[in-house]
Amino acid sequence: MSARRVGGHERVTGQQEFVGDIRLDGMLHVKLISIDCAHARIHRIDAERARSLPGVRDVVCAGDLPAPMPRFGPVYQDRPVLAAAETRFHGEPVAAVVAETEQLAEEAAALVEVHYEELPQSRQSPLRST
Amino acid sequence: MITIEGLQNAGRLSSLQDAFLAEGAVQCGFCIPGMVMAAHALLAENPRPTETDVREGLSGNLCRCAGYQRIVAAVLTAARGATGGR
Repeated sequence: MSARRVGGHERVTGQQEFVGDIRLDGMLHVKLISIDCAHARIHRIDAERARSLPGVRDVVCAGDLPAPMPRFGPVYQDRPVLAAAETRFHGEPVAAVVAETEQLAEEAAALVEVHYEELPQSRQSPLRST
Repeated sequence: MITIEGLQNAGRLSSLQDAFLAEGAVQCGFCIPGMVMAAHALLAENPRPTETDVREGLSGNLCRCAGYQRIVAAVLTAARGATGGR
């Protein structure tokens, strides 16, 4: 019999914990907000209704973060934490709701209104052969 | 309803769980509960699946390690074991 992977037993019996299983005292939950548009200029984010929900700690927008916007990434740190002024791909986060429960964060996220203007978009897949 | 935590019998791994380990089908483990339970359901319905049956049966589950070959091999191994011949 070949060697068996360390930790394999835990992974076939449901005992392995992943990041989503971690619960800490006082931990908060974040939902990222994105828009249904790949390339847009963000004009205004109206988060007052979301902020007023009890249990919502904050709604963070690009203007609340340092300038220039901090960037992250697994190899190249080239992804803005939140889109600053413009989004560059569909689903890019433009704001983050911070709340005491996941459900509350989701409810609050639905109340955030992002006002934006669509910019030209390429609809060609980079994977398409030329 | 059975979940991954309920597959063991008196602390012993099911033949399917054992086959996942024996075939090296477990990598990061993130998809494994879903893969094992999908395979468990498949084998309950079709104890002698072909490779195509297995791939079809697991098609709703994604493996972020892309370790599909060994997962399919593990299910086929478990199926052969369950029917008594290798």
